[in-house]
Formats: sequence, structure tokens, C-alpha cells
Amino acid sequence: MKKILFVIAIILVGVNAYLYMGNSELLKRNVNTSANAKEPSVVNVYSSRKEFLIKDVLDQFTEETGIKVNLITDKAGKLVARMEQEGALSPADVFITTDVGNLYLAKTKNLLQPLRSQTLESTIPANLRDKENYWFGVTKRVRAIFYAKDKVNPQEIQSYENLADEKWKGKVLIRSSSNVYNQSLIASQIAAHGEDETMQWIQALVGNFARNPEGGDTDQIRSVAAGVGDIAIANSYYYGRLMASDLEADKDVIAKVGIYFPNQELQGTHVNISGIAMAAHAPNQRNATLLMEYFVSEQAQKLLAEINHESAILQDITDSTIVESWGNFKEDSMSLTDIAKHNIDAIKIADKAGWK
Amino acid sequence: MGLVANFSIQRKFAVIMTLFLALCLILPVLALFSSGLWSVSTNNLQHLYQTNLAIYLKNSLILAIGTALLSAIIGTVTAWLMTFYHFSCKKVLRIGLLLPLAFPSYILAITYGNSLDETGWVQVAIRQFFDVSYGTYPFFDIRSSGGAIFVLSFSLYPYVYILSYNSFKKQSPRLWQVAQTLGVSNEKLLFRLILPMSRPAIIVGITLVIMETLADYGVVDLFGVPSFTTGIYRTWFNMHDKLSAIILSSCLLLVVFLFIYVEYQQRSKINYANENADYYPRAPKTLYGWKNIVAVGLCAIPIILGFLIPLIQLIYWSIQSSYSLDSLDIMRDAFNTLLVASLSALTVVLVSLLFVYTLRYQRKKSTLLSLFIALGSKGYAIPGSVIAIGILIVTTKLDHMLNDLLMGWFQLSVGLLFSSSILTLIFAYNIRFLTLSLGNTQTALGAITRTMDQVSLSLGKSEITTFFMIHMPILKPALLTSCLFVFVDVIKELPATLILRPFNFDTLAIKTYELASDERYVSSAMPALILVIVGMIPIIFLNRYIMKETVASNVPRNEL
Repeated sequence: MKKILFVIAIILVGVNAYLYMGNSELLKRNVNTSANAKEPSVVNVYSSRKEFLIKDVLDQFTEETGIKVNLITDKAGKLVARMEQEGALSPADVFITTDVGNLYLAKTKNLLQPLRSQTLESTIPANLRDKENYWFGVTKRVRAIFYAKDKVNPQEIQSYENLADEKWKGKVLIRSSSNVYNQSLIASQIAAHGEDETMQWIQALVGNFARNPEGGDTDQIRSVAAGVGDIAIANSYYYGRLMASDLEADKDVIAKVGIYFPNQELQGTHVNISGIAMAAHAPNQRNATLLMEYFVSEQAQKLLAEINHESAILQDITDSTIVESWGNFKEDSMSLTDIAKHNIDAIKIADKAGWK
Repeated sequence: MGLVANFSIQRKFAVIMTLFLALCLILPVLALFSSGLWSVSTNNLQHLYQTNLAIYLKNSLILAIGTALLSAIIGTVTAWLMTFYHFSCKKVLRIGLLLPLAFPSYILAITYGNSLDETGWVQVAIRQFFDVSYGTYPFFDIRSSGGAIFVLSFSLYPYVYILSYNSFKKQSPRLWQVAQTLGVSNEKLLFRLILPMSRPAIIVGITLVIMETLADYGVVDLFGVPSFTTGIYRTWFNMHDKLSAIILSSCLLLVVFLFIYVEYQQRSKINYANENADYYPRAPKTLYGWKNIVAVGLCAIPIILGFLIPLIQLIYWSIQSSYSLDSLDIMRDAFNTLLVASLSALTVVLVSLLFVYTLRYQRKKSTLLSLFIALGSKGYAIPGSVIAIGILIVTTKLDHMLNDLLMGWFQLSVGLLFSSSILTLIFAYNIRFLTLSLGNTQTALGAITRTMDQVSLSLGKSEITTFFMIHMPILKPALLTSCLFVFVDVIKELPATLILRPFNFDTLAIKTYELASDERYVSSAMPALILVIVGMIPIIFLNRYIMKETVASNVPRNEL
């Protein structure tokens, strides 16, 4: 027994010594200087935006510049964990996410670097990019409210805040608070009203849930059509996809469910972004810059808007006809930098209020 | 007197190799714990304790117990019928019962979830046909812990089925004859003799089911049943609190260890070795009339629910979906999948052979060796994403040290050599799936008695010859079963593959996941369908080795 404990102790010490080694400063310096030497014509992308939602853009980029794009996709939280472990040797040049929370997080973990780019700064509205130029929005994702056309007068909905009202008891559908779009929505409420008021709002909202959160955004919209609840909160492009679908079942959903953009009298509808940033240890910085700037080019913006019915970040690009059919509405103009910093508090508040 | 008694150098080499490999397998978990201690993240355990921990624990417990019970019942009942009775369509049913193995539980969850929930076509049809609205008719909620138990059981029961089938078959009919001449009834025979004697094998199967259930994230996420794994994911990848996530994972691991230890203690009180075992199988009894129908029905239910219905749903969606095979690079993904699956199956079986033989032929029983092997094979119970981060810690560290050295000597940086290569993936699969192979290889080797070795040696056969002529034929079903388990599980593996794969490397599971997690269930059906077909190939191919026909023609009638 003593022998075994001894061996275990040695192994533990060994493992810890092993973990402590290999962080020499020499390496970091050399890697950074070598980055400024000649670059191979490739750019490495870590993306939480699904492959089929950016592939066309990346292929176009390769065609125009001759720069090959290497791609890994995963959930943003896990990509952040991977970059953390890879440290100075990380091959990642560009980090793409589908929300602002993870960009903010990557920045606080020193995994990103700022980029001064005239193109990016002049095309992207200031509230949709980082104040210190660490990340940039490339498309807008709108968190809208959906209602059963036969039961709800859309004028009654008014705002996210109003969904806490007793008249919606047992009627509200929304997915789990593990979902980052919900976290950002809560964060935007914290930014607008403070933690205490947000806590009260969520507690009342949870009290109005039609059922325990389950499924994705599309499921919430479909459930309104099925009569499980009268109101759903979901991103608008999921509704856009249903509108674009040829399936009878999807057409039926669209016939029964309407879209509403809340908070028009207040701060405006909550808007998240799909965003892009340069990794802190990017070995191919020049190519990374080219790719990032390509994402706000007219061509790429058109592709991104068409592919998934999100809204283009460029003002003068017309969105897909489906998105256009929803009309204009007032967007929340608060800087996403100020919203994203509340993301972790948002999760904790959701936990406390019993939003699974 | 052991097989390699005279080969002390070889024996030492084997022991050292075993210790080294086992250490490699344990290293990621140890590194994870250690890095947790170094991390400076804020501690959210208090917050978790005050909010959701109790719910996570309750759900995980319900899932583990429910899935273990249901899959144990399905697995043993079907294996029992297959071993001891003849009934219609038996051959087809015997293969059919293996097929749910090809269905990843998350794909099963997608098909059942999306066809049976409030918005699925089943309930839509009910509402239209009876002209009723939601909530006014009775219908079970598929997205619940009951639904999760259903889905997990019907995708995991084959473990219990295969292992208990092979164990039932190996039991000596002479023992039963003795019992029967002593006037023991058939039911008593089953519960007092046959089931207890097959306990090691059945328990190995149930342990696999429990471990996979506890580590599952896909099904509980899709069905909105917040479990312990949900807690780990939320803490780590949403709140980015590494320390708390690691503490939670180690609690999970501790529970599994406790379970295995208690079972081991119980089991070691009984000696299962049957030195006089004869392997003449008993002739199955032929069933007629309603008994025949019941037997066919019982065996058909798991196939219909665990395979046919979801398969038909996938085919239907595939036809609907607008994605063509071409645009998805399916062939490339299928090739990648086959590549890593076969490499992993091979290495896992070799490693477990080494482990098992080193354990068998050690001169005196070494607790250290057993402990190492036991620890090294428990990666199955840890959620894939968590173990993957542990592996990343180890391999990136190795890369950093290598780069430091090369930089110091040659002013050269080679980047990440190990941590983003297929090698790391194979390593990860070995950690995750060694248990699948180790358990039943050990059980199989246990059936080869020392006397058999001695007889062979005393007949002048060398150790090598004895290994190939005596051991291999007896081990073959177990080894092929192991190969199959690992192969199929690698095809289905998702979380570790996602984090550890190199650039531009997709598998069928990843392609399915990408589309499904973007809420494009219909589009995800095509890669899912191909994944299931790829998984079916080895099952059909290896079926006759794994599930040997019961009646052996060379057994004289009067022996039975």
C-alpha cells in the first residue's frame, strides 16, 4: 500500500512538473517575429458558424485571392478552450462566432488581437463592433417575438419586458438559457435595467412559460403553430427558413404564426451579431486581415444574407426578399461591448430564477 | 506454471509496456485535475449548489437506473430466447437485434423527438384526424426523462444482449442436467443457476450502458433533461469555470468507480471458474403456436423501435431534403470515418490484449498493475468534451516542449505536431473506448483454464503455438466483438472528435451534427442515414463470428 501511494505521489508530481514546463518566452517571441516574415498563402479559421453557412464565402475568397482556407468548426466555448490550450503555437488566424458573448469572452482571455482596418471601421456601425477593435460584426441576428395569429393581437405584445405580464401565464415558449442568444438577450436587459430588475423580469417570465424549455428556436415557432403556447421568442432567420421551405408542414406553420419586432417604443429590438476576430497568435496576419475585410465586401455580405436570412451589416445591401418582407423596425443601438460584459451574470440570474 | 514462465525478459517488457500505456491513458485525466488546481477561474460551485445541482443529480440518477434496468431486461430476455429456443425467423432476428448498435443515440433522439413531440407529424396527424387541439388529447411527452430512457435503452441494449448471449451459450448443459435430475424447476434453473453464472458478463454490459448514459450529452440536450453532464457543459463552456467543471467531472467518475468497486467486491466472493466446463451447447427447444408468436414478437420489438422506425424516418427525410450527396462531400467524410474507426478498433484490441495477458501471467499479483489498468480504462464514463480537453492539455504541452527544444537548438518552429493530428484522435478513442474491449477480453480469457495451457505445453507445443492454436480460437469471438464495439462507437463518437480533429477533417457524425444542431433535421437525415449504413456493414459482416449458431452438428444426440 505504501509503495502504491508512493508511486501515485511521484506520478502526481511528475504530471504537475510536466504541465509547468514548456511555456518559454523565447518561443513566443520567435513565433511572433516569424509571423512577419513571408507568409504561406493560407489562412486558418476556427468557426462556430457552421461550415455550410460560410463555405460559399470562403470558397469565393479563395477564388479571388488564391489564399487557401483551412477550417475547423465547433461550439464557440469549446474553440475558446482549444485556443487556450494551444497558446502561442495555436494555428488559428481568424475566429468566427455566431454571437457577441463568445467574442467578448475570447477577448478577456487574451485570445484575440486588435485590428486597425479602415475598411472594417468605416463599414460596420460602431455599436456592432468592439470599442477597442478586437472583434467585428458581419451579420445581424434579430431576436424577435412570434405569436399565434388567431389568438394574439400583435399590438398587445409591445416589448420583451411586457411578456412578464400575468396575461401571458402559461403561454410563453422559449428555449433553454444554456443557449447563447438567450444569454445575450438577458445581458441586454441587465445593461438596460440593471440586475435586480432583470431578475424580477425573468422570474415573472419563467412563471409564464408554457412548458419547460426544450428544443431549438425553430421548435418554439412550430410549437406556437401546434397550440402549445401563444408566444415564442426566437431569432428571426429561423422563421425566414420556414418561409423559404417547400414543405407543407412548414407552410402551415407560417400561415398560423406571425413575426413581431418588440420594444419599438423603447430601446429597440435586441440585435446580436455573427462576428469575426483575429486570433492573438495568428501566424498569417496579412491573410487574416484580407479575409476579415472580405467578409464585409458587397459580394460576401450578399451571400451571407441570402444563405441564412440574417441581415447584412452593410446598410446599403438589400437583404433576402423574405427579410425585406418583414419591413423596417428600430434596432437596439446600445453598444454590444456594453451588453456582452453581462453574459456570465445573465447565466447566473437565469439559474437563480429557475430558467433551465 | 504460466504460459510465458520461461520468458522473464519478455514478461518484464510486457509489464513495462503495460504500465507505460496505462499511464498514457490516465495522463489526460490527471492533467485535467492538475490544471484545474492551477486555474484561477472563479468558483461557481456554491452557485450551482444553491441552484441546479440537485436537479442535475436527480435526473442523472433517474436516467442511469432507468436505462440500466430497461436495457438489461431487453438484452437478457432476447439473449435468453436466442440461446434456448427455436422460433420462426430466428436467423434474421438474431442479426436484427444487433442493428440498433449502428444508431447513435442522438440520431435516435432526433428522429423520435421530431416525429413524436407536439410539432411532429404524429401529433399533427392526430390533431387533424380527430379535429382536436393540443392538450385536449392524451399523449406522452417524448422530450422528458422517460423519453431519454427509452431512446438510450433502445440504442444501448445490444451491449447486454451480445455479452449475455455469449455467456449463456458457454454454460455447461451438464450442470443443468445435474440440477434437473435433482428436481429443480425450469424457472429456478434460470434464476438460481443460469443468470447468476452469467452475472459477470451481464454486469459488464450494464456497466457499459450506465457509463455511456452518464456521459451522454446529445440526448439530454435534445430532450431538455438537464443532467449532470449538462451541468458540466454549462459550467465549463458557458460560464468558463474550469475548476468547477473539473470537480463535477471527478464526482461523476467517483460514482462510476464506486459502482464498479462494489460490484467487484460482491463478485469476488464467488468463484465463477468452471474447470470442468464442456462447451457442448444445449439443443434449443423449438417453440410452436402462441409461444412461437410471443418469442418472435419479443425479439422484433427492439428491432422495430430501435432500428426500423427511425431508419424509415431517416429515409423519408432524406428523400425530402434538398441537399444532394455531392454538395456535402459525403464520400470524403465516410472515408475519414472508416479510417479512424478501423485504426482505433485495431489499436484498442491490441492494447487490451497486452493488458489482459500481462495481468494473467504476472508472477505475483500486483495491485499496482491492476489499479493502473482499472484507472486507464475508465475514460468511457467521462463526457467526451471533458476528456478531450484533458488530451489537449497533454498533447499541446508535448508540442510546446518539442518546439522549445527545436527553437533552442535549430531556431526552428514546427508548430503543433501532435495536438492536431489524427494520432491524437486515435489516442482519444483509445482512452474513451478501451473499456468496451477490456471487459469482455478479460472475461473470455478467464474461460481458458490453466489446465488447458498445461495440457498443451505437456504435449510439446510451444507457447506461441498454444497461443495461436488454443487461445486465439477461444478469444476470437470476444476480440471480434471488441473490434465491432469500438468500430461502431468511433463512427458514432462526436464530442471528442469535434474538439480534437485537424483542419478540414469531417466525419459523418460531425456532418450530421452540424446540420442537426442548426435545426435542419430534415437535411441532417442524409449524412445520418449513411452513418448508420456504414455502421451496419461490420455488424452484418461480423455477426456470424460474434453470435455463433447454437447447434453444433458434431455433438452426439445423446449428449444433449
